[in-house]
Amino acid sequence: MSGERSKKLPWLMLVPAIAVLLVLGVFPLIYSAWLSLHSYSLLDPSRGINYVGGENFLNTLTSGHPLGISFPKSLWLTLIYLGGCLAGEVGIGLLAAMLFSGEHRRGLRSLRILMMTPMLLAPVVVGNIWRYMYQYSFGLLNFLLRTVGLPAPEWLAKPTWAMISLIMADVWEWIPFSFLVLLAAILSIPQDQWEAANIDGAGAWQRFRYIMLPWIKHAFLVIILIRGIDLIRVMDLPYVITYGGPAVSTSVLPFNAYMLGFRYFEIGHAAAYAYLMLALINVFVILFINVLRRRPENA
Amino acid sequence: MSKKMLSWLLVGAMVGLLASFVCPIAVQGKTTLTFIGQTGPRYGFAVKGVADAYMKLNPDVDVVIESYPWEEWATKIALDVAGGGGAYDIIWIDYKFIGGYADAGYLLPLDAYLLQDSEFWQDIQSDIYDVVLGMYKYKGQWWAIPHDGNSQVFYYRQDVLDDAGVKVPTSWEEVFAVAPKIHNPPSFYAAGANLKRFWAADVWYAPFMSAGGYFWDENYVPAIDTPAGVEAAELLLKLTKFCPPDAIGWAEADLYEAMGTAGVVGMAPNQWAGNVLTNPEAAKLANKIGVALPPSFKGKRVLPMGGYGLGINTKSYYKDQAWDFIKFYTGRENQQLLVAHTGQPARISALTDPVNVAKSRYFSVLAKSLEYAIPRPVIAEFSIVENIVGVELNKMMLGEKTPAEAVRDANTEVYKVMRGRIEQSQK
Repeated sequence: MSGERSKKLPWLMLVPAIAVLLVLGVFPLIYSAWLSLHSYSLLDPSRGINYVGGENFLNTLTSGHPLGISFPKSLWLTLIYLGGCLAGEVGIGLLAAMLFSGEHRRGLRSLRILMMTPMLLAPVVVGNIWRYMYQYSFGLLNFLLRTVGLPAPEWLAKPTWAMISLIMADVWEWIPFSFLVLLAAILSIPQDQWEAANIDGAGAWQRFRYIMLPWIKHAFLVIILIRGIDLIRVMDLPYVITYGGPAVSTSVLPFNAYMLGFRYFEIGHAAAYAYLMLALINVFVILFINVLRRRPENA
Repeated sequence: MSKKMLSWLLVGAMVGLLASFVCPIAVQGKTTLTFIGQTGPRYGFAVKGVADAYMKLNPDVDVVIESYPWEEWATKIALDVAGGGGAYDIIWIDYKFIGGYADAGYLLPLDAYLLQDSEFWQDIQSDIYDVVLGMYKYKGQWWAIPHDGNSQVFYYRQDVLDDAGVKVPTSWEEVFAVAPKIHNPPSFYAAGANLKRFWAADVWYAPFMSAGGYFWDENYVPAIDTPAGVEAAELLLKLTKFCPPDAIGWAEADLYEAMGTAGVVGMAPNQWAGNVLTNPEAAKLANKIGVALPPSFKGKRVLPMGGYGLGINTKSYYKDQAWDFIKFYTGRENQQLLVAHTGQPARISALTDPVNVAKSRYFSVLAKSLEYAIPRPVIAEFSIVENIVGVELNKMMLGEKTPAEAVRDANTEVYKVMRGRIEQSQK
């Protein structure tokens, strides 16, 4: 009897955790899937929740209504944003990691903490800081550019500049993450590899290409995976800095889902939009997990 | 103590605890009124100031104020409605949500209270413009008492106009005649406007309606794609030539900052600035800023108006107490208190009271402006409509569309939003 009891006990102990998971994870997933097949306006709840089948999905994929931008175009903007941010974060993060792992690393140790600061700030705070810096007339960036005699861009007024502005703010905020991961990867390269390269007379480029890059390749993939998922669902910076504008030039997918859900309160449509985004994130994750699985021997 | 007795005691304690959540007055002997509203000087500060005074007079009542930025506030309310309501007693409600939330049974009709307090009601009716009060009447019943009447006013830099030797323009035609004389970027931009997405639509409404336009006909068939719509869009495009180049990315707060720091001389008529620019404690240039009625267009002045009211949740346990608070808040005798806490009253007597005007000198202009105001449509879909119009106007400003194309496309999109109402009205 007591043996049977002790077998059941671990399962009983799991009940609260499973209950929380069911209530906060599984139920919302099922409920939102159900909502995505319905028309439901929170601004006019008396209209009720009406079954519309796949209409919300069809509308999302075939028309930009009422957002002013189609799903494929918004996806394209999201990919530009994602590509720009990843390139900036990984590129600058790698340079910083190489600097901090080099010969002068002891002297730079105290600066590592400072490097972390942007990542520690709330994204809304980061967004507001950059929004003010981007102001055309009195923003810090244009003040500095004018001071050195360079032309002052209309950061948030032109579609291309607005996207660049978002990417710059995001890169600034998340460089510390890629820096940390890459620094750890670089510092884990065995010292004898460097020594052997030195004996063989390898130059800086050869050391980078044939020693460092193979060793840190996996760290790149981890950064791309984690940050990629984050960037596909990023909402805070586009909301605070550009509000998806000018017009819809920075209306990335999560911003549109937000607009549908929490500005227009069209919950069914927003749920369908979010499910399509979820499908995209899953494709992205599956692709990257496959890449990670294929190359364990390189580590 | 037997096990059984202990079990009953525990059950009793749990029931008591549960009851205290459901009906706090029974346990605490004190009424707690939960108020949900918006943050900011005109709203959150004012509510707190008046609520503190109310609690001093009524020590048995606690008014708990929850204040949020507009979008968060709207989300909280929407979720409360969806969840069956009951989180809040007093609802600070945007006029455009009245219909939807009244139909959903979330708001309590105030007619019984108004009948009971006929003296207060008569006073309100005689002291608030019909057009302001009317925003809270739906299907023949009253759902809220106005917190403020919110029409547009025109802020400008008096010192710059004086230096240029020009008078304050009273029509858009005059604005464009005067603008080249004072437009001297980057020192001075003749105009400034909040042109980011739906904020752009808000600048477009006044010339659109002044030119004889309205959003739809009596059957909700959109009427944006009209000569009035195109003329207003052309006006907006012309205005952008005198604005700082990044005005397309401005919400109203950016505009106020620009007016205070970036040399904007005339601010496109706006209903949210309140005392931000004219209060010497808040704005460095306050003494140089003048306030006037918004310009007319084509010889007519029609101004869009919105506003907020105070209503009661149907699910509130303290409806009578909530009504008592609303009466106190909107009562004639407490309006100076409201203004002292940076509020903007709805009552004409308060807007023209010399003591109040001395504190907020835009009040007298606002009172006059309300005479020209008509409410933006009081329907839930308007949040979507204004975004559609704003986005299309933004596309026009970016050169992606002509004014006629922007207005035509906005009309097409708005039709899709209004299709349900159109079909209903045709039945």
